[in-house]
Amino acid sequence: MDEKWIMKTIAEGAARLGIRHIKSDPNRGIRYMVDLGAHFSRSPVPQEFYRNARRLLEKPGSAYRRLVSDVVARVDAKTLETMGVNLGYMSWAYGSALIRRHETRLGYHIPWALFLDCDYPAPPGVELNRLVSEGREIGIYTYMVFAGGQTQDCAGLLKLSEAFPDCAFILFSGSCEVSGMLARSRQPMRNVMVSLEYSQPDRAENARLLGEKQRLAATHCIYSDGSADSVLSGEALRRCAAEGCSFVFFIADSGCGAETARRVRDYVADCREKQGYPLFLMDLYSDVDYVDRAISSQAGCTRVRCDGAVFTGTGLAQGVNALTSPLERVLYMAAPLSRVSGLPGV
Amino acid sequence: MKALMAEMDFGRISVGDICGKCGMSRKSFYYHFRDKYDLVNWIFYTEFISRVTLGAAPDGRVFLADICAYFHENRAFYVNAFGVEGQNSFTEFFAETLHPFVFAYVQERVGAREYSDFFCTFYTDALRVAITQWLKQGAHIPPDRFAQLLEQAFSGIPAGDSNAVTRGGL
Repeated sequence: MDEKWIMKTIAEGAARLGIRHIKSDPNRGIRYMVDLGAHFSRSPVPQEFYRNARRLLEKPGSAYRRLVSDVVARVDAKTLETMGVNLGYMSWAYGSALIRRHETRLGYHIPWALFLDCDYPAPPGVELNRLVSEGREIGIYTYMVFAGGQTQDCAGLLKLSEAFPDCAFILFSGSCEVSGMLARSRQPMRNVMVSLEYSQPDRAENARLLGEKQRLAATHCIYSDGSADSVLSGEALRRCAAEGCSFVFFIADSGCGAETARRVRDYVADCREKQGYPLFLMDLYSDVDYVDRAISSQAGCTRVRCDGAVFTGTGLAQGVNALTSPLERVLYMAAPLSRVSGLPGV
Repeated sequence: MKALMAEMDFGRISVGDICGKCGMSRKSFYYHFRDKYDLVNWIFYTEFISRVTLGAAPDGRVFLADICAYFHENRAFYVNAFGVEGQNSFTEFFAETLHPFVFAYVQERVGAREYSDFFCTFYTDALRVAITQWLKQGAHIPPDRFAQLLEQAFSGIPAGDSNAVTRGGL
């Protein structure tokens, strides 16, 4: 029974209590949850999160109050508790403290969330367990995993999440096959959020199946320089809201320019503030970046492809392979503190 | 609330009394709390957890000592709070808060076995009753000594083979 375990158990108790309060009395329960979170937060990221949450929830007619109570009503309580603790405590409190300690000592940037690109042909027998295991040791408790038509072992990704129950996994599915597999899976998936790509033809059916199993689910829209206008027009958000989505990610594709990314980022921030859509909106890379800057002296997205190639904001990291090198060496080669830049654009 | 509970039984305190004492409107009170039971639970949860989280590197032993020290410092309040039973009472809330910690301790000793739930419930109730009695009797045993006694009582959990029970091993 060490300090980490005690603190995590306290966080779990608080999450359970908050969820129960929200179920029995949504308005007061949400305030209770936010007050509790704000009271206990010591790290900058959760403090900022609860400060903003309080401000947004106090707005008259706040869309977020109904959204929170909808999510609590529809998603399995244990899943909410687990993801809430893994993100809010393990990643943003415990993990962020570890990151700061290691960065100071080792002299390279450690991202709070590691991107794993599994939608690519991989050498046989590739195991990502080692990467996640080493990531945890230096404070990385959140993993953004991309899977799609070229993913060879989708079931293996769920096994990965089960092997690390105190980490948060967000699985972005880029193909109908992967989405279907995830939607029909019987694994508990307590520490997983499944995100379905917006343009998939079976998305509504898979979202329905995920909803039946009370999974934590999202929709993501990949935008480019050419397609950003359809995002900015509000069409995607109107449709997501009409379909009953709760979480929406906007993700810049690999060729997207910085100016387009900035426009979408500003649009998302504006929508969040105005609460025009009853949705939790995130512009993935800029929001990950934002949290990174709150934790570290610098920010920088690090993406590991399943063949071992490593990408940062400045492109492919030369002379390093994540399959053959320890993660610490990968991050050292890829992102020493003086060289880190912001959004990936790769 | 603490001042009120030092003066009168919990059952006789009204929300009006609470609001009058702290200069808060009833509307503000009900904005945050469902009822006075909710307030008592909130006080415990926030004060106790703040104490634990601000302390240096808690482990199981330090955690137990902290619980006892906290209750000792606030004994007038908690003698009153423990006197209330039933749904959403502090008694129930305290047991629920303790449960995962006792469960982990029991699992360390007997493993994930058939009777670990039994031991967990037994020792959670025992801990709660022991603390309640200690406070009601004036908390004359110093808190650190009381924590040691609790620890010794916990060490009575049979380690390893809980199947000894079915073989008449108790």
